[in-house]
Amino acid sequence: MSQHESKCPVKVTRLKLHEFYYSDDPKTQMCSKCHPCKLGIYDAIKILEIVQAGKGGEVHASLLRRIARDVKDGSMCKKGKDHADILSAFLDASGAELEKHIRGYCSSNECAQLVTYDIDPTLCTMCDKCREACPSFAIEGQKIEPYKTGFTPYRIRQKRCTHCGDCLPVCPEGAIFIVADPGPDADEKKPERHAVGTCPV
Amino acid sequence: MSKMVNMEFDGKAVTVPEGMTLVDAAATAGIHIPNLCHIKELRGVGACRMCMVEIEGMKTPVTACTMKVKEGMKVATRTDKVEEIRKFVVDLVLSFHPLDCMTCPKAGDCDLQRYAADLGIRESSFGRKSFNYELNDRSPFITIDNNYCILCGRCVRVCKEQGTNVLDFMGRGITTKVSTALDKPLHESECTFCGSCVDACPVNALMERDRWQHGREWDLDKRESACTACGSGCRVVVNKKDGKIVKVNAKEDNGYICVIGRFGFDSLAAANRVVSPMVRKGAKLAPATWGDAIKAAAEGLKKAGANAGFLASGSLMNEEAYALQSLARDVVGSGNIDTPASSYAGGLLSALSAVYGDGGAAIASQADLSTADLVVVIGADPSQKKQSLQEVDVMIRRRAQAGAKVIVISTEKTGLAAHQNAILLQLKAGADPVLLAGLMSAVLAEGVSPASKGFDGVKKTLISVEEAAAASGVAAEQIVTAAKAYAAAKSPIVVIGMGIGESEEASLQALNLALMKDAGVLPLLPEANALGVMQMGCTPDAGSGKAKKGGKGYEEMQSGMKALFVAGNVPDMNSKADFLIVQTSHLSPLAAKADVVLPMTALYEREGTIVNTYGQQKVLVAANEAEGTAKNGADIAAELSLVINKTKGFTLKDAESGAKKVKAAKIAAGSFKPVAAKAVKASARSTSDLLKAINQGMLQESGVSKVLVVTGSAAVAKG
Repeated sequence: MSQHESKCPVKVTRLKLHEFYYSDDPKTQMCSKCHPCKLGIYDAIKILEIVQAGKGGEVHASLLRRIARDVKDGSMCKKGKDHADILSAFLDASGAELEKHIRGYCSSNECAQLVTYDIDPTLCTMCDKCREACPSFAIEGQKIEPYKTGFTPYRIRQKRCTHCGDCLPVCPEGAIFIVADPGPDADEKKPERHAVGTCPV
Repeated sequence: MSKMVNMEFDGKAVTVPEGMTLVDAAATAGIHIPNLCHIKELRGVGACRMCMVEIEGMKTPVTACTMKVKEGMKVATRTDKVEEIRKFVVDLVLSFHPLDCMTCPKAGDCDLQRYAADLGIRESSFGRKSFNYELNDRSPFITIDNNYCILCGRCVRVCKEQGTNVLDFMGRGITTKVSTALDKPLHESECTFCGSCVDACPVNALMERDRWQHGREWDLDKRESACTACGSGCRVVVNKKDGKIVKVNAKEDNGYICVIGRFGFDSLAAANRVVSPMVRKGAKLAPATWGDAIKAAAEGLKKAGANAGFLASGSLMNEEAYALQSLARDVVGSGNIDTPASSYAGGLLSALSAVYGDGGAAIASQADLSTADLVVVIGADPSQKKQSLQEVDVMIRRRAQAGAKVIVISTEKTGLAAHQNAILLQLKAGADPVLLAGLMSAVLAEGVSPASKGFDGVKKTLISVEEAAAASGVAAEQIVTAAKAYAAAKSPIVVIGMGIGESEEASLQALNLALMKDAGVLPLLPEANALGVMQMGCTPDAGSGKAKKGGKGYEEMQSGMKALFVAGNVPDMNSKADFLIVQTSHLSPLAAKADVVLPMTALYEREGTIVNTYGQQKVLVAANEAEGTAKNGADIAAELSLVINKTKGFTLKDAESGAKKVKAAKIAAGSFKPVAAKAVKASARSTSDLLKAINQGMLQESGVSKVLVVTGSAAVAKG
């Protein structure tokens, strides 16, 4: 998906900086002459990648703010300053979205690593379709069979989940859903992630 | 003198010459503006952005390495805003520079370490990055470790500016890599291993090959001295640890020293180093004590008396040369003393004293290459690639890079002639006086009117451009182009090489050309102290005081001498002397034939003074202990003199004070103003292979040539 179709500001900013940094077009590419731009923009791209991968922290937000300010002040040419502006415009306009990313949620569900899938047990009919569809064996559960008891309910092992989303369309009941952001003040964050073999049930 | 401007740094008032950068101007006020990429005397590029300062009345901070001083400028070098940018840059650089200061040989001299400490950055706040470059240590002298590289570009710039053009950036962004063309190892590239890049590197990305675990900056015992490998006599700093030389670097910032000066110190402990005196016993040279060797030498000289010959190499120091001629004239009583230098530069030096007065050579050559806007190179091929007078080549190329024109008058297409700013006048062998006469008349035609006395006489001998073109084989238009450039130059310098040094006529013509514009004159002498040795009286007709003049010269002494005393590394010759004494540092082919070999100090072991090709006196400090029992040449001559004749003999102190007196007298005798131009008739000249032999000898002594030859042929084999 190109930056123009994307709705996630984090991704759009990263792609813009990435294109500037790695472009082969001499008109738009980074000239690689001064340190703040050459090193700073690189770090900004890396930090945005980290945030998109769900490993971001508060420190990354402040580093991005520092890069935006110092590349603007320190870089040699207009290209560098312009891209610092892109970064700071993103921080001003989409600061909340960045925070949300750092908390682990992407509003437009484009940053795959930040999309958390879960199964609603009230809707699940235990048809086993999702388990069969999952390429990374992240869904566990037992297909319901008449006259048998003691089955295990279906659930997603979050640690094993690769966030591919293949389970979502195969569910006939719509029981698989994307976990929504509970907001910055919520106590409980993502669904509890159990280590294998420590199921409380 | 350039105009001075008044300005302020952090409230401190300074007066600095116009055209200076803020970084250099602040340094005069004792304020250091941090920088990672600035090199003194080179055009700033503003890459690292560490030198940002705020100037009153300007909206944004500017880089101090690109900003020139202006009257009334008020600069703040330590505001919060610029400090933050500095912290940001160091922080970013530290994120990919290995933090192993505990083993790094550069620790203590590392700019990055210094700024990190100044700004209080313990470790990077950005993510650690590592690109795992391969260590490039395949070349014999210099290693490149790109993992340490902070991409400041200093090495690339010094390499480009001095015309070596080996290092460049590869790739873009943070993964830029400093490398040679096609990423070849250094010894397969055009690299001359001068090591300017090593001196320029603020960290240890570029390092001497043998530096690892050989002491860190604060362990090193540093002594300033001068290199005696060639006529440039570059100032060096010899770094020692535990009594051993571990590193040699240039004294000045952005100073140049060549591969011999920097890496040739290994030759001090080379296998062919003479460590003890040797006396011939039958067919073999056997080690002997100093007493025995001196006695044997003294006997030989005494027996020969007035039939003894003395040869001084052009790389002897003043004191050694003075002691040698005292030994010859006062003690042994022989006027047969000469130096090879007088046969290759004799014509040039007599021309210089004819025009500038006695001892004028030293004064004439105080020409400053660093301000020249045009350099005329006559009969010289200073070349980094050919390992001859590399420093001069670098100085001329630096000027050419800054826009100065270079007129090359030579029989072949020299390396300098290939420069884009060079005008080559390629002439037939021996046609220099004719061509110069034609060039001068072309310069006159451009409207230059020489103020010098005696030029009217010269005018009569000039020939037309067409005549000169026909006789020298140079196109007439080329001569006119060169003349136009010369006429337009503001501060030209005429460099006179040894290609015409033998011929007095050609040298005089070259001097006349210089006199037309009051240009500086730089005689290029390939040996470290060729000028000094001659000034000290090591020429047949320089007899001082009672001693008679007109002894035998270098050529005549090749045969028929009863005894021959050769001091220093003189090229091998077919000596037919009955008794040969060689005072040398390394067992040269000539020394192998000797009857007595006396070991003498070499390179950084020497203590005394020399006069380099620029006419500057350089003081050598014994930075290293002499290998074995090697002694200073003046010491040897003094000991010999006392053994030969107790009453006429002299001590080391006498020799030193005598050398000092001669030096002072010579300087007083020369006049800073040229006396008069001298008319000459244009004629042909001869050439000799002596210079080549001397150059070859110096290379062999340094031990560097072998390596270069080996690596060079490896490149050929692979290429």
